[in-house]
Order: sequence, then structure tokens, then C-alpha cells
Amino acid sequence: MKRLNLFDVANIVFLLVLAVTMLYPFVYIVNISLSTPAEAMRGGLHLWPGGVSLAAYKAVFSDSILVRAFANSVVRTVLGTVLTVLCCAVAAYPLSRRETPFRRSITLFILFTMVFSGGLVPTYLLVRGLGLLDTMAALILPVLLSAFNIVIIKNFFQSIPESYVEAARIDGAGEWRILFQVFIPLSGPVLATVGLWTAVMHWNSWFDAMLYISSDNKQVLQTILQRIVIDSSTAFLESGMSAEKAASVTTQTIKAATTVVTVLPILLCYPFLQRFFTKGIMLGGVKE
Amino acid sequence: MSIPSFRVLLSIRAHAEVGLICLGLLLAGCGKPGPEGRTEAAQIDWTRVSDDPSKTLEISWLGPLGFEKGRPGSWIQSRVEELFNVKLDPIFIDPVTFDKVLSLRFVAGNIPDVFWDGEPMRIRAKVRHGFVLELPYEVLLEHAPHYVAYVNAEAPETWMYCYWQGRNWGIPTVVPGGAIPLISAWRADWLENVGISKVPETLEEYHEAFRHFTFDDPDRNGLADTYGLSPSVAHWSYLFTEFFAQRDILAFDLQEVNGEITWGGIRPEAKEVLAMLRDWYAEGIIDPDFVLGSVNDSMLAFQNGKVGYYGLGTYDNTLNAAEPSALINRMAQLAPGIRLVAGPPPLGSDGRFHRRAWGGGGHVMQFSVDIDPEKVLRVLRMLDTIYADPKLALELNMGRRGLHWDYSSEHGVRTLEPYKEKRAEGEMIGSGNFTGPSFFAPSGLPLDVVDTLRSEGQREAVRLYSQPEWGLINSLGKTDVLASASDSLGDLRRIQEKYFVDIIRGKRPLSDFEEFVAEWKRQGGERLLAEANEFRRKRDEVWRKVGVVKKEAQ
Amino acid sequence: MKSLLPSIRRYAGPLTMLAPVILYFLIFHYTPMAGLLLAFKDYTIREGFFGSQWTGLDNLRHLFFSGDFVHVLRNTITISLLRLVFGFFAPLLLALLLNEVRAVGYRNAIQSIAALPNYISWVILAGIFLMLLSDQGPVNDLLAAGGFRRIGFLTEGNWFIATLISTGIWQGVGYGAIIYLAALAGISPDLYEAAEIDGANRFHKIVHINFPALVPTIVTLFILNLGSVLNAGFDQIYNMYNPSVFDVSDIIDTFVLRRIQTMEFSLGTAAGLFKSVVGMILIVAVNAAARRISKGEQGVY
Repeated sequence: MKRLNLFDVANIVFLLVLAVTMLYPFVYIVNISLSTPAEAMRGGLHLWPGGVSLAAYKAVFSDSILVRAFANSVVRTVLGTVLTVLCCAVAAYPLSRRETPFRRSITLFILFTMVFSGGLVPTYLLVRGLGLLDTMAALILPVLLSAFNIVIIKNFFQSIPESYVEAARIDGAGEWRILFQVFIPLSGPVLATVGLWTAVMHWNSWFDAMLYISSDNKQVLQTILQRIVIDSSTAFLESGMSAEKAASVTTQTIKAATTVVTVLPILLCYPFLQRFFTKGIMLGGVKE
Repeated sequence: MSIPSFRVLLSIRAHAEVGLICLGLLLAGCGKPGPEGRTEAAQIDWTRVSDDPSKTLEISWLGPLGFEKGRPGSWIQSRVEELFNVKLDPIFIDPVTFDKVLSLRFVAGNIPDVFWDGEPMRIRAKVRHGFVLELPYEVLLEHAPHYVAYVNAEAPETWMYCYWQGRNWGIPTVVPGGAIPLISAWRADWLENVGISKVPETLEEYHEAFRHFTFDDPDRNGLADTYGLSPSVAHWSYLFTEFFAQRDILAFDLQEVNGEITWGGIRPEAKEVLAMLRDWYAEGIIDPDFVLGSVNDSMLAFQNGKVGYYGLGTYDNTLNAAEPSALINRMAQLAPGIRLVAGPPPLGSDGRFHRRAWGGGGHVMQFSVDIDPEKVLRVLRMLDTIYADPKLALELNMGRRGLHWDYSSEHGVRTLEPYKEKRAEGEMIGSGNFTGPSFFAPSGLPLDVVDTLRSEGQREAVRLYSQPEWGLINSLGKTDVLASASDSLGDLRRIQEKYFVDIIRGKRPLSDFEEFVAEWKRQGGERLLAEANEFRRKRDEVWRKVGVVKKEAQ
Repeated sequence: MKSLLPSIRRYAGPLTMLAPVILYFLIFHYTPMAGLLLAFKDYTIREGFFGSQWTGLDNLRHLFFSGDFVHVLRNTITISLLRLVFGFFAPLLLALLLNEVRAVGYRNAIQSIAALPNYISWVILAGIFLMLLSDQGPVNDLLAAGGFRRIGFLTEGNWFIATLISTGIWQGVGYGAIIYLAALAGISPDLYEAAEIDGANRFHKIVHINFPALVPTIVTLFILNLGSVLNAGFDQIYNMYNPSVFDVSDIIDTFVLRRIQTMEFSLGTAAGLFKSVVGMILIVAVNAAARRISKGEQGVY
């Protein structure tokens, strides 16, 4: 074991402090969520909960809109991820085969969408024109295929030895069978990476739901959270009704509890995510 | 991954464009049809329209804010349906969505028959987009005369919220409760500790109290950690308003002075108020952190015992011991022994009390341009009947007395037992808040009716601390009614806030006030005032048409 | 005709796979591009997309000569450039530091923890920071206890920008470091040994071995970042900003959103069009420049 010099010690300490700053905000919010409202109002670092109370969580779980939103988020994430991974693989496969006609043009056609887009208003008009407003489809379809994912999978497919394909062809397999029985099984890591990326994106999406979903029982968790925690409106102030209504400010503890519930799935899946992402970056991300 | 070269991109673009045009033609079916033009909607001959009371009409209804927990099928809804032979489809929207996303819903084409709004700029935008029905004054006068008289008496400025290019585009609603100014609240225990026996009433007494709160350790904890006041910067309508009002100034509103409309904040008296506040800040009696505040921070400073004065309360949310969420109860939880007392605003230099109020001007109900005209008449008849009969208005706001609520002079209005939960679950919309609008009866109750429903304590509080007569109101109701408001008003307010706060904090000299006035005028203020005076002329014309008897000038 | 059949049979497979994909992109990506035409019309809901009148360049003129679009543009570029200057090198530094830690377990643990915030949405992070940085929150309490004045991290213009950038760095530094660490992991140990023999100390090694190995990655990432200079981080800004800091933090995307709220759809589309076009030009131009500079060896091609 080599001796640790000053630099090493300083480095280790610095990294420790860094890790603490990464974790502290989460520790803080968990503690606030477990405190009583009076304790939550007090100042201080909140390194542990003050006056432990589960009241906030009880309130959260008995709020039917929140529970419903949680379910909607789960459905959206699972459905969206599975569909995206499948469809992107289906798109990537022909583009990875040299003999596909118009391959270069189609690839460029898809890549162009990475540098240029229609923007907010036209996309909204499209979703409305397709009759998708206020449906789960509006949250899944517009992000179903992305040039980025397709290219990543395509690159990986291109690295699969031709011998596999030839062997399958000799067995009389058609293109679909080759895709599903050869390429996809071999692409576990890439598909898992893309899947996890997509899942995280879906779980964290709030803006599209804010725009497209109007029924509260179809709303997703992040958008509801946004409404409760961040977005407040001064609409009441100017309406002359402020007096009575303004008194009902959501308490800190409930905001905190809702936040914790929203972030928990990611925190729980995190070790799993981490392992795949590190692999994924090296596999196909920034290809030279 | 590879990104294509520029030349290749150009050729793709060319191909894409051709494809787009084809697709565009394809999607013609998806777009909303109708080159019907905008404000030139089909002219309705109202003399031909009649409303048969025996016919059940279906009306979709987007009512006022504040009822997001509402559910269809409430008692009040059934009552309205029964009384007027209508079938209602209520649409409840939460305030954030209302602010941010509602316009997109209208783009989607789901335009309700009847819809509410409180923002003059948005109301105008809707008219411009062409889906609002024009409602001539004659039709209103003929089919809802009592209602028109009510609006004229309570808040005639609201007529201008739905005025656009010489025509009328909706029904004004009024909220008489909005004319009640906010109250001043003081830490009674602190006043006692520093030897003040009377609740501060004059400006000098306010000043004295603030000084004692800062320098005489009113909370007896041995630390110099308290201040007189921590004003809120969260909204322009909060900014030191009681001190400007003491000099008869509405710093962020239009005021009529000597027959002409000007802006309160550029008047010379405003500079004098700034000078005084600047001195106070230099003395150290204003909490220096006031400038950091977001929405609730001024209240939090009061709640947590940092300051001894709070100027933004109402009786109900601050002092009402029977209201669980009132400040007085929340503060008692943090530390027993805390006592609050209410006080009037600082006495004006003319010997009268003044304070800013929003005024009774409420909002506007508008109709979709595609609505059946007979539905319009039905709604007009509804409003006329409801507001001609205070008992009915009360019932449609709160429910039936004895069944849903009861009144005692001690406790005021109380919701009766099973309906408390139902109100929370949205099944009893409108009940409980009688000063504001109800979902289906969107104007509030007149103040004399409201007064009969107040408890002794509330009545006393209003009489002593927040009389409507004290209210100073923007002379046009809301500055937003002016056309250039959408361009410049936000910036003008921000500039003013920055200058005022900087002058008060000593970051700028008092002489910068003149610089502020010049800047304000340059950035659109001059144009705004010109529009305001022109607008007043138009307003007077409208008032003539609807029969407003002009009140004395503000 | 005879030679066509086998071709059709062979291509049927891949083309049936691609047909829906192409259709998808046409509908969901290219059709909205047609919608950009709204920037040249005066869209009203009643008239719809096809009925609204053409107004040519009026909207663009309105954007640039009245209203605050130019101001907003300046904010966008300022914030992006500040992020680039301060934030670009943070992951790089972290990667270099992590790489120096010899205890693999410790290094992996820190790396994992540091990357955590990247997976959390700004709705959550902003909500937490709103509480942490409020003027009665823990950070200000610490400042006050230390005798400093309380700072309006979220309400004072310049401090807000600083907060935006710092929290933005906080969120991305761990994840960003992973990319660099992957590249560093690929350095052959022989290089280190050779350097040791030549008498290089740690600092020399970092400068002469680590850093050069990272240059390709650095250039690539820099290009990608530069191309998106007009995206100043809408997600974070929208969730953290408030009226007291609108004048410094209003960016193009929030501008567009507010135009939607005030129902000025054409104006919003015009701003969006400007952003898309400029963004595209930037990416392509910066990429071409990078290629020329490195004589074709670097660049994202």
C-alpha cells in the first residue's frame, strides 16, 4: 500500500463532502416529511425528523387524486418504456443492415429531427388534431421513437457478427425472426440501457402532461407535485377573493411527503440503474 | 452517432418541404374549419329570440376559481336546475391550470357555453380569437334589469372588463366583499411589554410602536432580534400600501386627481412617503430581509415572532379564534401567551382612514359564440331572478339555513355537521364562503346581507378596522383594462418596485425619484396614462348606456 | 419485371419494418414543422390553422422591435454561456479527482452517490431547493449564525443566476464525470509506468496522460453543448423562477410558454421558429468548424 500524501487526503475529504452535499437535500426533505407541522416550520438543518409523525403520509395516501396519479405514472412509465424499446429496436434493425434500400436517406431523414423541431404550439395543435388530448397516448406517442435511441441501438446491431445472420438465413428465417430471435437476445445491455433511460424520462415527465391532460384523474404524479409544491398562482390575489382562500396554504410536511413519494421509486431502483448506465455509456453512447 | 453535413441537410429539407405540403393538405380535415372571421360573428337578431321556460336547456358551465374540488351533482346545482329548468354540466379547474393552460384547452375546441374569467387581458384575448359572443347592452337591460342595477350600484367599473372596440362581450360580475380593505394586526403582548396601552392609530403612533418593537426587546428574550415590520414584496399590491394610502396614494394604480387620471406612484406625495420609509429603514425598524420575500414570508416573519406587525390580514384568516387555520391559532401552537389585536390603518393626513382595496369589481362571464341564443336569455333570467332576491342568492351560495348551515351572533355562520365533509369533498360547492361568488351564482352577496351573517366579533372588526368606506380603489377598477397594458404593465411595475425598494433601502438616493418618473413615462407609462384618460371617456359613455348614476370621484 | 420480384421479396421485410417508422416521423416530427408556418400568420382559434390570415414577417418584427424578446434572448445566451464556462469543466475535474482515488470501493461509492441527482426531475429538485434556500431556510440560517447577511438566493437577480448554475452543476457533475471516467479507464497502465520511470509526479501524469486522453471526449461534448446554447435549461428555470427574477431568468422557452398563456400563439411560434433555426445553424456550423480545426480527426462525424 502506497503512502497517502497530502493530496490524497485532501481529495478523499473533498469527495466525502461532495457526497454529503449530494445526499443532504434528500435527507432534509425526508426529515421534513416525517416532522410535525410546527417542527417543520422551525429553522435549522433538519438532520433528523422533529417530533416524528406520519400524518403527512397518511394525508398523501388518502388523497385519491395523488394515489391515482401515482398509478397513472406507473402505467405510463411501464407502457411507454416497453413500447419505446421495442419500436426503436424494430426501427434500428433495418437501418443497421447494409442491404436495406435507401438506408442512408432514411437515416438522415430521422437524424434531421434531432436538430430541428416544430416547437410547442405546432406540436400541441397536432396532438389535438389527432384527437389525443387528455389520453395516455398523448404522453407516449410523441416520444415513442427518438432518433437518439434508434442510432444507439443501430450502432450496437452493427457490431453483431454477420455470421449469426448468415446462420439464421440458412435456417430460412425471415427478417422479423432474425430481429427477434437473434438481435434482440444479444442486445440485452443496450436495450436495458435505452429502457432505463426511457423509464426515467417517463417517470420524470411533467410538462407534456401539464399541457395535454385536463382530467385530474388522468394526471401524472410529477405534474400534480408541481402544482402543489412549486406552481402557485396569484390568480386569487387579484380576484378580491384572496382573503379567505389564501389562508389555505399547503403545509410544508405534505409538500415534503408528496415529494418523497414521487422520488422514492427512483431512489429505490437507483443501484440497479447505476450499474446499467455505466455499462451503457461505454457501449454505444459516445462512439468515436 | 453521426450528424449530417450541411449540404445533405439542405436537400433533405427540400424533400421534407414537399412532403409537408402534401401532408398539410391531408390534415385539412383535422384543422378547425371556418373562415368566419373574427369579431364579425354572425349577427343575432335578439328581438327574434325567445326563451321558453318549459324547455329544458343543457348548459356547460365553467364557473369561478376556487371550486376545484367541486363535483357535479351538488345540492346547489340541483337547486339551480330545478328552479330554472336547466341541465348543467359544470367544469371545475384548479387555479394553476387556469392561469397556465386553459387557453390551450380553448384551442382544443372545447369551449363551454358559459365561461368565467377575471383577467381583463385574457378576456380581451378571447374576444380577439373570435369565440366569444357579443352581448349588446340592450339585451342585458331588457332581460336582466335587476342584475344590471346591482352591478351599477356595486361596481360599475366592471362593465369595462368586457368592453372591446365599442361593444360588450359578456356579463360583469361583482364581488362586494372585495371592497373591504385588509386589516392591521399587532402583537398585543409586545405592545404591553413595551408600555403601549392603545392600539396604534396615527402615523406617529405606528412609528413609535415600530421603534419600541425594534429597540426595547418586546419578546423579553434578551436578544435584539426583533423588528417593527417586514413588508411583503411578493406582489405589487402589498408593497407598503398602507403607508402610501395614508397619504391618499395608490402607488401601483390609476388614480383620478383633479379630474384627470394619473398614476399614484409618480405623484409628488409618493416621494414624501418614500422619504419617510427611507428614514425608517435607516433607523433600523424595518426588517432588512423583507426584500427577500416570497409569497408567505411577510406572514411568516410575523408568525415566527420576528416582527410585531402584520398589515395583510383579514379578520377571518388572522384573528378569528373560531377558524382553525387562522394566524392566531397557528401562533398559539408555536408558543402560548401570544395575543393578537387588530388595528385600523394609519390615520390619513385628512383626518380619515384610507387603505387600498381591490374594489367590488369582480370578473366576467362570457358566452361561446356557438351557443344557442335562447340559452343566453335563460342565463340572464337566472341572474336577474337570483340577484333580485337576496334570500335566493344566499341559498345558492351557501345552501339552506337550518339544513346546511346555521347562524349565531356569537359564531357567525357555521356549516352543519354532515355537510362539513361534503364541502371538503366538493359536493357542496359554494357553501360557507358568503362574501365571494358561488359557482352558479357568480356575483357575491351585497354587503348589507353579508353583514347580517357576520358574528359580533366580525362585525366589530369590520366597523373598527376595515370599513369599506376607507377603501381606495383603482379608478378604472384594474389597470389591465387598457390596451397597452399587455405590453408594458408588467415591466412598469417591475421598474417601479426596483426603484422604490432601492430608494427605501438606501441603495439609491431619494433624488432618483425624478429619474424613476422619467423612466416610467418612457417605458410606456406616458402612453398608458393617455389611454387611461381616453378610456375614461369611453367608460362614461358605457355608463350612460347601462344607466349608471355616477358616484363621486375617487 | 422478372428481376423485380426477388428484390421486392428481399426488401419487403426491412421496408415493412421501416414504413411505420417513417410514417411516425412524418406525423410526429415533420408535420409540426409545417405548423411553424403559424409564425407567419395571425392565428386565431376561430379561424384555425388554415383560416388565419398571413401576416408575413410581422410577428418576427414584433418580436425584435417591441416587447422583450431581445431581452429574453440576451438572458438565454448569458445563462447558457455562464453554464458553459463554469459548468463544463466541473465533471472533468471530478473525473480526474475520482481517478486518483486508489480504493476502488470508495471511488465507486462516491461516483454512484454523485450521479444520483441526475435521475431526479427538476420538479423534485426545485421543490427541495425552494425550501433549502428560502430566506428562513437552513442555508440562510447558517449564514445568519455565522454573522453574514441572509441572501435571497431565489429572489435576488444575480444570486438567482448563481443559484441556477450551481444547482445545475450539482445535478450534472456526477453523471458527467462517468463519461470521462470511462475514457480514463481506457488508458493503458504502461503509459503510467513509463511516466513514472521518467520521473513524472502525479501532477505531470494528469496533465500529460490523462488530459490528452480526454481531449476527444471534451471536444465532442463541447460541440454538443455549444449547439444547444439556446436551451438554457427550461425545466430547471421554470420550476425555480418567480416574478422577482423574471428580468434575468426569462428565457426563450419560458417566453414561448407565456405567449401561450396570453393566447398569442403566433408570436410564440415565431419565437420557437427562431430558436429552432438558429439552433440548427449552430450545431452544423460548430461541427464544421471543429472538423476544420482538427483536420478531420475530431468532430462528431
